[in-house]
Order: sequence, then C-alpha cells, then structure tokens
Amino acid sequence: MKNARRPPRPPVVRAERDFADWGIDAHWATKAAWFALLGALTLLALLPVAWMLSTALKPSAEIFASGIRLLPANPTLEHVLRLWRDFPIGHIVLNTLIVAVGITSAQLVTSVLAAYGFARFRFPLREPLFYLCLGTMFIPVQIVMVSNYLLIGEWGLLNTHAGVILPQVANGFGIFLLRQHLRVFPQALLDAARIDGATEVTVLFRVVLPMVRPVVAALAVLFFINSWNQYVWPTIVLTNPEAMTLPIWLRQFMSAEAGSSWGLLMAAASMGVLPALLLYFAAQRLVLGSLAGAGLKG
Amino acid sequence: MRFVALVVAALIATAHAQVTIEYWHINSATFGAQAVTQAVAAFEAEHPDIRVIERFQEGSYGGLLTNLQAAIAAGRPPAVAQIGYNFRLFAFNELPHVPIDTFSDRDDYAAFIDAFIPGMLRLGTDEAGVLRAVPFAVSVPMLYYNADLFREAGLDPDAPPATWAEVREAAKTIREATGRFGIGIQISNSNNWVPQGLIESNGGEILDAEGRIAVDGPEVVEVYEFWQALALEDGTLPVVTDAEQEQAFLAGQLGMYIRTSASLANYTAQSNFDMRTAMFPTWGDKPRSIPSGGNALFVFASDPAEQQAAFEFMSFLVSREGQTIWVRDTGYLPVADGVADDPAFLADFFAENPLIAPAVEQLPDAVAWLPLPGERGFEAEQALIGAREAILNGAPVAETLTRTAAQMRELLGQ
Amino acid sequence: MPRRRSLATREALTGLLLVLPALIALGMFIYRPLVDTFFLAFSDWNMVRSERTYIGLANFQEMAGSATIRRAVVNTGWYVVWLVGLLIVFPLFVSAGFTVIGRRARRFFSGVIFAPMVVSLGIASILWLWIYNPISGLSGAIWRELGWTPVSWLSNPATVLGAIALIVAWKAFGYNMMLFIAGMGTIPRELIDAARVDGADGPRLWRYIVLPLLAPTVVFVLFATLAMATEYVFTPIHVLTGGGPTDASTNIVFEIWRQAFRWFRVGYASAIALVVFAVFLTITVVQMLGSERVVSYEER
Repeated sequence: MKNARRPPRPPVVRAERDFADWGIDAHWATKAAWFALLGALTLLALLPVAWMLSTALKPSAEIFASGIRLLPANPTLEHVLRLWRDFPIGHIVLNTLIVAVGITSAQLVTSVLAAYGFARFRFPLREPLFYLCLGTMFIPVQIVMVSNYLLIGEWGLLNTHAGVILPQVANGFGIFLLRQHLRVFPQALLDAARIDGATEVTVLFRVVLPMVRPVVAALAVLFFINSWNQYVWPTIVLTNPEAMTLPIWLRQFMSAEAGSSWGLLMAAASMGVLPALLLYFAAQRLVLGSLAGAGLKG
Repeated sequence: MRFVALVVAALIATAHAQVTIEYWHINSATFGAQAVTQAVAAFEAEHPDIRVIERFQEGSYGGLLTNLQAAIAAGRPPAVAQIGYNFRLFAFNELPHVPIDTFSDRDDYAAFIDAFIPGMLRLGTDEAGVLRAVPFAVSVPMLYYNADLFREAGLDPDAPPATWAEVREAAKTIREATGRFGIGIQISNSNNWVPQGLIESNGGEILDAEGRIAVDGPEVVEVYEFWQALALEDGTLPVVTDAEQEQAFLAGQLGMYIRTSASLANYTAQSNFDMRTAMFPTWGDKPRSIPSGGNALFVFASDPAEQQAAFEFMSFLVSREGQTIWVRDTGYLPVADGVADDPAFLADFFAENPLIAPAVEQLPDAVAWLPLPGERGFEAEQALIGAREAILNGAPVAETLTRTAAQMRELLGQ
Repeated sequence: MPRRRSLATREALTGLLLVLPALIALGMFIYRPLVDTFFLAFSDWNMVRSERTYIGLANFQEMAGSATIRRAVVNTGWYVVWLVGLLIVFPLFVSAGFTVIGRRARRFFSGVIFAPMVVSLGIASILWLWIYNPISGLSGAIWRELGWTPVSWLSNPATVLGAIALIVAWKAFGYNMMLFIAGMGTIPRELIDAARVDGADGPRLWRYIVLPLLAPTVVFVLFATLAMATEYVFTPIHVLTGGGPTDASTNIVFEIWRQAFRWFRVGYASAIALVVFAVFLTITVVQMLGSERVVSYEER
C-alpha cells in the first residue's frame, strides 16, 4: 500500500547521470586549454581562503614580516588556542548554527507549502499574491529592519535567536524557485494520487516532494550558507555577546581606532569558513548533484 | 533552618533593592574589553546594590549609534553609552539624554567635577555651557615611525621630524634610499579627524568664528596642496585606503604614519621592527592644534534610581582607580588630573611605556573634535572627505575646495 | 453544478491555506515595514525624535536633484554590467569547458570553484584587501615583479567599482556556473547528437541549440544577479570603501543605509527605498511575463 504508487524517477535526476559531456572527444589542445583555464580559476578560488588559513597559523610577528609568503615559516596554533582559551568561540559557533538551522528549516517549509499552493491550486488573487511574494526579493533588509526591530522589541525577543529567525521564516526567492519547478510537474501524477484518495498533504509529501528533492536540497544549501553568514539584521538584534553569531562577534577583532588584530581575526574567520567548507566538501556530491538537479527548466 | 535562612536572605535582598544598569561600549576583545570587565567588577565590589551589564557594540561609534538609535526608538536604551566625539552634537541635539548638570544637587558633584584635568570637560559641554556628557576616552593623533627604515635611509632615528617640511624631506630620503613609501596619514571615509588637526595646526579652520564653512581659506588650501604634493609630486605618500596603509606600515613598507595614539598597544604587538613615536608635526613654528578622539559617556536612563546608579558608575570610571584600569589596557590618555604621575596609579605605566609619552606631552594642544552642526552636518562632512579623495587623485586643490565649501555651506543652510 | 462549485471552493481553500504561512510572514515582516516606509517617505524623521513632520514630496524632489543619488543609480547600473559579465557571460563560457573534460575532473573543478560560496562577503572583503593592497599585497608584488606601477584598486575612482564587483563575483561565480552546467545537463543528448550530425558543431552548436535551451536558466540567473548588484555589493562597499573615493563605488542600497543609519535621515532614506522597490517590482513583473512566454510550451 505504502509504495503502491511510487512515481517513476523524474527526468531531472536522470539528466545528472548522463551529464552534458558532448565535447569529450575534443582535440587534446582544446582540452589542455580548458584545463589551464579551470586550473587558473581553481587557484583564484582557493587563494584567498588559503591566505586566511595561513595567516591564522602565523605568529603575530610573522603575519606582516613574511610579506606575501603564503606558507607560515613557523606555523603556530597561538591564535586558534587563544580563541578557545580566552573566548567563548565554541558557544558563538553554536549560536550561529542555531540561527542558521532555524532560518533554513523555516524557510524551506514555508517555501515548499507556498510554492505548491501557487503552482497547483487556483484561488482568487493568486497572481497578485505571488508577485507580492516575488517582490520581497528586491527589498533590502536595510529598509525593513528598523520597523522589525521595534516589533521584535515589543515582543520581548531582542537578544534572542528567535528574534533573529522570526522575521525571516519566509523567503520570496525560495517560493519563486520552487514554484517554477512545481508548475511543470506532470498533472497526471497528481491526479493519479488524488484518485487513490490521497489527501493534499499526502500528495505533497509522497508525490511532489520526492520529485523536487534535488531543488529543495539546493535551496537548503543556499539558505544555510546565507544565514550562516548573515550580518546586517543580527547586528541590531543581538547586542548581548552571549547571543551573538560569528559574523558579528568576530568584528571585535577589527577596530577603526586600535587597528585590527589580524591573527585573531583570521583565526575567527576560519572558524566561520572551515565548518561550512568541511560540511560542503563532505556533502559535495549531494550538493552539486542537487544543483545539477536544479536545472532550471522554467 | 535552611528555609529560615532563605527567607532572611530574600528579605535582605528586597531591602537592598538592586539596580541594574546597562553599559554600551565599543571596547572589543583586543581593544579594552578587559578594562571594561575589570572596571565593572571593581565597581560592583564597591557598590553591591548596583549591577552593571556591559555590552560590546560592533561597528565602532557609528555602529553603536545605529543600535542606540533603534533602542531609543523602541524605548529601551542603555543607562550609559559611549558616544564618539564626532557624534557629540547629534547626541546633544537629538538623543533624549540626561545632562550631567542634572546631577549637580548631589553632594559629591563638586568633587566629581574637580577631578578632571582642567579644560577637559569642554569635550562634554554644549555651546550654551551645559555639561551634558562625561569626557571619558581621549586619544590624539601622533607620528609613528619605523626606526629601522630611518637607519636604512641614513636618517637619525633619534631625531624624528618635528615639522611637516622635515617630514616631507625625510619621506623623500626614505623613498630614494629604500624604495619604500615615506609617509601615511590616517584617513577615514566617515570623518575628518586628522585633517582637522592638519588644518587647524596650520591656522586654518573648517568652521570660522561665526560658524561659517571656511574650507576654501588659504591655510586649508595650503594643507591639501601639501598633501597632494606628497602623493603625486614626491610619490612618498601612497594613495590607498586606511586599512591598506595600516597593513603597509606594519609590514615595514611605510616609513612614517600619522595615526591615533589609541593604536599603540596593538601596533606594538603586531610590528616586528623598531617602532617609535613622536609628536604630531607642526607647520613651521605655528602652534600645534589636534582634535581629541575617543568618546564621552552619555546617560540615557529614564528611571531616577538608574540615573543615580549611572552617575555612580561613571564617577568610578573617571576616578583615579577607574582611569588606571582604563588607560593601562587601552592606551587612551587619562582625563583625571594627577593620575598620570602618581606612583600609586599610572606613573609606572607611563615609565614603562615611553612610546605613549609624545601623546601625553601634546595633550595640552588637544582641542575638541569638531562635528559639523545641523541635520545635514554629516553630509557636509562627507563632502570634505570627497574633496580629499578627489585631490589625492589629482583634482586641482583650490578649485575643488572652493566648490566643496559652496556645497557644504548649502548643506548647512549658510 | 453545486458539486463542481464545492470542488473549486475546496481547491481555493487548500491553495490559500498552503500559501498562508508565507504570506503572513512576508506581510508581517516585509510589507508591514514597507507601509511604514511609505508614510515615512513623505516625512522628515530621524527615528529618535518623537514627532514625524509631514513634508509632502520634498524628499522625492531632493532625490531627483541629488548628484549623489544620480551617481548611485549609474553605479548600480555599472555593477549590473560588471556582474552580468563576471557572473553570467564568463561562467557560461567556462561551463562549456565542462563538456570536454572527464567525469572526475568535472567533479574536482566544480567542487573547488564552488567553495568560495561558503565564505561570507564580510570575510571575503577582508581577504581581498590583502590581494588589492598595492604596497604590501599580492597584486602589488605581482605588478612590481612585472615592472609595472602597482595600482591602488580601491582608491582610484576608475578601478574601485570593478574591484568591488570582483569580490562579489569571486563568491558567487561557482554557484552560477553550477546552475549553467546543470541546465546543460537537462538538454536531451539526442538533440545534441542530431545537431552534430547536421554539421552544427562548436560555436554553431552553442548558438543554435545550447543557448536557446539554456535561456530559462539564464533569465533566472540574470534575475539573481540584479539582486546581487544591489544587495550583495553592500558589504564590500561598507567594509572597504564607504562608497568612495568620490562616490565612485557607492550604490543605491548603500545610499539608503547611509542616509538612514549614518546620517539619521530616515524619511529621505525611505523615499529612496520606495522608488527602488517600485522600479524593481516593475522589472520583475516584466521579466516574469517575458520568461513565462519563453517556457510556456511546458505549461500544463
């Protein structure tokens, strides 16, 4: 009964398998040129990150003395250890994780529901309401943050993670992207499921979601990265260091007056980049596969 | 028995109604956070009935003010906050605060006032003479230099340049002998702190005695012409952002750097050359005039008990004990009189840190940092920044300043 | 007949119920503040003063006459141009390279080129400072090595905008490239093979088969790039240049932020914000209607 009507695998997943490699039999010189370009891009992509890690591992006196040398001459864990010993870095990373996971999951849920509603149901004012959702993509947070701050304050949520998450539980971009995919979803599959007597919720979770899973995964990655790195809004909500997220907290190693403490700054920055990077490399196949699946058809 | 003890404890607690005040500051982990924690602990030990919650605000004084603005609008400002001197006028006129004069009926008020270095209180006083804020952090621009580069260029590291003409020559020598840049001047894309010092030391003014914009005056033009010549004619001053100058100086690529005394501790830790300091150079024998950077403490509490607690706390911060904690950790200059040479307080600190001496020595030349008045004052300030940027990129000096002056006058409604 | 009606009603109800959570959230936290913004746009207020003074259209008039706003709008346009080049044209070109390399190389390169996406723009800006610094940074060293005079990328009005755009491009390049590669993966292989049999190869294959079929992806990425040109570039501007030198790197969102949170002119900032929103909403709707036509063959 449970898997009685498992729909066939959607074409998007198949597409990932036999990838567009129609140029694979190109001339070796062409190939070499492409490899050179991709190699250069790889270098460019990794260089700044490598610089950050290497600075984090250089002793303070060496950071500036070594000029532009990439590898530390006397690598040290001085800054990293200081971060763990003198600062609540673990706690800060945890805060960041809570906020990022909270925002990501909330946005995924509201986006899936709304996209499904907009794509497959007829109701009054559907188009105008959809465009209103879409329009939110172009409203910079700077415009709405004062008003939201006052509201969050009235609700007593300043300096709480809920206060950071709540105004961002929906995301116009997510609704838009998912709707594009759900619109081209074969109606026959839905009808078949409905004739079987499945409720709308069942249809959504059993039939629709599995087929757009790659898109949802790609969105999840995007939402997570964005909320993990979020800065402008959390800055005014979280004024209590105990509740701060990493992007705000590490600003204390930069000071217009005293100058920056580059070693600590880079060590703290690494704490923000490394977990995300490791997570990404661990899930790389899934992520890139998902993105490949997100091949935007409409 | 245990129950009775609890009840008694509860009774005592209610009798000693605790006041909790919030204190907002910009003192980051590597710039004064320790001083704040230490001062709060010492204060709470003396005043068990007051609890201070200190909160670091990121983004320097501008960032703090943004958050403060939001907190005031939401009706929950901190009891005490640091306001950068450049935002002083805005805070005087626009932020609902409790002027320090309000506390004048306290018994300890006269002693509080007398403890300051004479003249210091004008940093917290408005045009009408009302003391509105407590001057707390004071820093001044001075000359940092790389003695190793001086030696390499054949200059005497024990005789740093004292005038701008000497700076120019030394910078040229460094450029020619070592290929490094000679001189950097601290700049900001949101204020004109060091430029004010340059202009006023040369006898010029941003605002004249009548409060009119005077940046097209001959002395101002002279300053910017000199600055432009360093950059474009001599090629000894790099035209880069301030963060880049800082990196270059710390990397030993810049011979001299005009910068706030507040950076001393951090630079000492991160430079690995023979770094030294000297007084802010003068224009020939004209008197030096340098703006004091830093912040004043404002009271925003509305509850009377909190207001009194805030006053107690500020009194402690500017007391000799409080100043000793503060100056040691931050490198700011003391505002309390007599604390610098008192062996019980900061005398040994200043003896151990000779690099701070030039800053202390030129403290008598410090004047108020001048924010421009009016609703559009910040924009007028930005116009002058724009003029500097244009001039360092080759725009004709007199013309640019004339146009900028007109623009600033319009913004200030003059 | 009544049965049909009730079915339609049920559909409408279910649909509304599904979109409700998102609508409530967006209404509460975006449109409610936007209504605030609307009223503020006609007033003079600094957020802390208790009264808001109604000043009619004065803010809009000031905006129309402001050289800085004009500059910010023009710059925003240039950011779009830069980012379209760096984040659409270039990744499209590079994605062509992915069709000639093997599976393993594909996985490796897509993996590392995507990596900068996880770095926040704030950190990215600081990292690039080490590259841009003409005195002690990487570009300075390379330029000197080549015998050229190092360029002050961030202090020269001619280069600063491109330098800021490059930081954003560095971060987002891999993401956009992946989207294009993915789009190419959905093109039926038979179509490609057939075209090649017909003699369409290399550029012609791209011109007549690949690009037209990628059009929806490109439209979508264009969309996202527009958002980046306004919102993403804010952070590097804020961290590195403050809009300077001489307004050469400012953009419209940075102006809104600066007016509201540095210069305390919330009313004026609101007026700018309102106009920006109106312009973008128009572009969005037009673009949507356009792209709707492009893909309509797939409609049910």
